[in-house]
Amino acid sequence: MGLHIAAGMSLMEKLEILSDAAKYDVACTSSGSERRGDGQGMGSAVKAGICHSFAADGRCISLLKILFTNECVYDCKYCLNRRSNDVPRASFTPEEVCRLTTEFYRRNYIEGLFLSSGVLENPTYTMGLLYQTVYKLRREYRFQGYIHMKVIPGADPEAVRLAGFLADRMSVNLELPTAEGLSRLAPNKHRRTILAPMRLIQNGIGMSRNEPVPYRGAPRFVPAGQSTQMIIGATPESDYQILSVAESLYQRFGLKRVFYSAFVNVNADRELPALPGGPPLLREHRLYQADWLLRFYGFRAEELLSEERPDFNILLDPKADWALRNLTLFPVEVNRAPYETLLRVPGIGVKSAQRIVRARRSGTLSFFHLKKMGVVLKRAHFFITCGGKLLYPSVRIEEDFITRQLLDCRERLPFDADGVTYRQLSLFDDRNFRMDRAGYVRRTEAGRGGEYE
Amino acid sequence: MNRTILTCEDTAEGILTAVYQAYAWKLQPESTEIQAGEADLCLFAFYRRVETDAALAEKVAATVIHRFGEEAWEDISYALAAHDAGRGQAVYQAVAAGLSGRIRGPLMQGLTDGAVRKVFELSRHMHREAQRMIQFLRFRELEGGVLFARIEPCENVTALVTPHFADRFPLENFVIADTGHRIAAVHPAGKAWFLIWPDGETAERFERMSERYSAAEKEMAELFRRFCVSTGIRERKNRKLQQQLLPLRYRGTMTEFDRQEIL
Repeated sequence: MGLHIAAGMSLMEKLEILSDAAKYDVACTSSGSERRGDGQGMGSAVKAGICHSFAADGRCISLLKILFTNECVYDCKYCLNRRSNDVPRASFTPEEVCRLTTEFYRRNYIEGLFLSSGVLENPTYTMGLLYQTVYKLRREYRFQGYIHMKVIPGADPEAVRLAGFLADRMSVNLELPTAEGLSRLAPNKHRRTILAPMRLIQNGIGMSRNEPVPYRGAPRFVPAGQSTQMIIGATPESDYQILSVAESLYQRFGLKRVFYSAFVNVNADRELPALPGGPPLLREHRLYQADWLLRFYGFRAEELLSEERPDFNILLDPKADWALRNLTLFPVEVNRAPYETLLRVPGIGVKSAQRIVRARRSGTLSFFHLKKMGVVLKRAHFFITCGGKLLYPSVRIEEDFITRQLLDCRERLPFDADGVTYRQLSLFDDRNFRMDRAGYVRRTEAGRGGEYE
Repeated sequence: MNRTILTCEDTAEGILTAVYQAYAWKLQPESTEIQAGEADLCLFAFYRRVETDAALAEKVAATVIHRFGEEAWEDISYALAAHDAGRGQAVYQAVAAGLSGRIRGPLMQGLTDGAVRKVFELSRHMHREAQRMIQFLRFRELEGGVLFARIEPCENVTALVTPHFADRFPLENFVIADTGHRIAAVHPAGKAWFLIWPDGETAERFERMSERYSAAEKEMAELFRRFCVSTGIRERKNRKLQQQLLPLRYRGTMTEFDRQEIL
C-alpha cells in the first residue's frame, strides 16, 4: 500500500474516485455555526446552513464531500473501500484539497469542506493527514467557511483535540446501532474506540462554551457540535433499538444530529442481507420523522415504540400513529391548548404551533384563520377544535374512523418512483408488502437465527 | 361609498409617501386604498395623485420602526420590494391596523388580520427568493480573475443578496447581474459594493460574458459537474425530489446544469 498508486492521476480522476467513495456518508449539513467574514480571507458561515445544489438522488450538495484517501487497512463488510475490494485507489495531497475547496467556494458551488478518509497506515497517522490539510486550508488559504471533519476511530486524543479547534463540526460514525452488529460487520472497529472520541469532543465543546472570559478571536472547539450516523437495514436491529440508541446519544453525548443511512448493498457480501426492493428508504424516512419528534416535539422513544411494537407503522407517520393510540387526549382546543400540546397534534409542526400561539394573543382563531396562516388541516382537523367546534361535525373521534380517513389522504413521501402513479393490478401482491420488504427480510433473518444469506 | 384611491409611483418611497399623505389628509383607512403604478380605474371613487417625497417616506419608516420595531420594518420593507400589485394596500392597511391598536403584541404576529397576513406572505416570498439566490447563484471567473454571476430571479432581490456575498468574499472583484430586472451589483475588492442599472450596451455585454471565461473556469466547472454526478447514489435516484428542492427555473444559470442533466 502507499500513496504511489495515486501518482500520475489527474485531479479530475481523483475527485471522481474520492467523491464517489465518500457519497455513502449522509452528513452534508452546513448548519450550526454563525460567523461573519473578517474581511481578510474568504468565507463565512450561516447558522441554518445553505444547500447549494441537489444531486439526482435528491440529497443536498452543501459541502465538498470527499475522502482524503480511499486506501484503507480496515475490512468492514458494508464498505466499498474495504481492504479486500479491488477498486481504484487514490489520494489527494493537502494542496489539492485546499485548491478544490477554495476554488469551488468562491464560485458559490459549496458551503465548505467535508473531509473524511480511509485509514492509511493507522488511525493516528490518518487523523494527522486530515489535520494538516485543514490547518493549511484555515491558515494558509485563510478559509473561513464551514469545515466538517470525520474523526478516525482509534486516533490519538491529542490529534482529535487539535483538529477540533479548526473544524466547525466533527463526527464519529457509530455505523451500527449495537456492539454485536459492529463486531460482525466491522471487525476492526470497536464500540469503545467510537464512543471515546465522542465523549472527548463533548467534553471539549463543554469546556469551550464555559470558558469564563472568552477573549476575542479565541479559537472555539467544534462550534457546530458533533453528529454521527447509523446504517439502517444491514443488521437485524429493530426500529425501537435504533431510536433508543439515538435518544441516548442525544441525551448522554449531547449530539447535534444522528443520521440514518438506508443500507445500500455495494459489496454483495454473504454477511449482508440482500435488498431486492432497493435500500430501505421508507424505514429511513420513518426514523428521521421520529428523530424530529425526539428533538423538537418533546417525544420520548418509549412513547413511540415499545418492546411489543418494535417497528414503525409503514402506513402512518409516527406522530399520527401515536395520536391514534392516545385518542383520549384529543381533540385539543386551538385557542387554549399549551404550545407543547399543539406540537403533538398530527399535521401541526413547530412553525404552525408558534404562529398559532402568537396569533391567538390578538384574537380568537377560527379554522379560516388557521388555513390562512398556512396551518395544514388535512390531518390536523381530526384532532383540534376551534371555539369548541370541529371543522366537520360529522367527524367521530374514534380510532377506526380516523385511521380510515388518514389512510385516505395519502401521505406524501419524499420518494415513490418518478411521478408514476399507476401500477399493474394484481390480486395477490399487496402494494404494502413491497414497501416493507426490508422489514420482511429482517424478520425472516431474525426468525432463522442468522441462516439467511 | 366615498372611496378614495391614492395613486402613487410604483416604488417603496412612492407607497410610503402615499401612506403619509393618507394620514396627513385625515382619510379613513377603511375607505381608502393605495394603488401603486398603473391599474384598472374604478367607478364611484375619488382619485388623488401622490407625488413621491423621500423625506415623507423616511418619516413613515421612522414611525414604523419606532412603534413596531426593526423586525416589523424589515418585513414591511421586504414586502415593499415584492412584485405584487396589492402590496401598497397591504402595507397601508397593516400599518393602519397597528396604529389603531387593534393588534396586541408585535405587529407581524397578528396574523388574524388580513393585511398583516398579506405583508407577512409577501415578506416570506421575498425572503425565500433571496435565499434561493444565495443557494443557487453561480459565479464564473473571467479573464483577469473577476467573478461574474448572471441571475434570473422572479423578484428583484439583487440588493438583498449582495451583502451576503460581500461579507463572504471581501477580497474578490465580483459582479452580480440580474438580466431580467436589468440591475447589477458591483463589488470591487476591499471596497463597498454598489448597484448599477445597466444601459442596453452593458446589458448586451453581460449576455455575451461566456466568451470571456478564464481557462481555470472551464476546468473547475468540469470538476464540479463530475462531482455532482459522482456524489449521487444511483440506488436512491429520485428526480422528483431533486426537482422539488431545485426547481427547473433556477437551472438556466447554474454551472452544473450547463451541458447535461446531472445524473
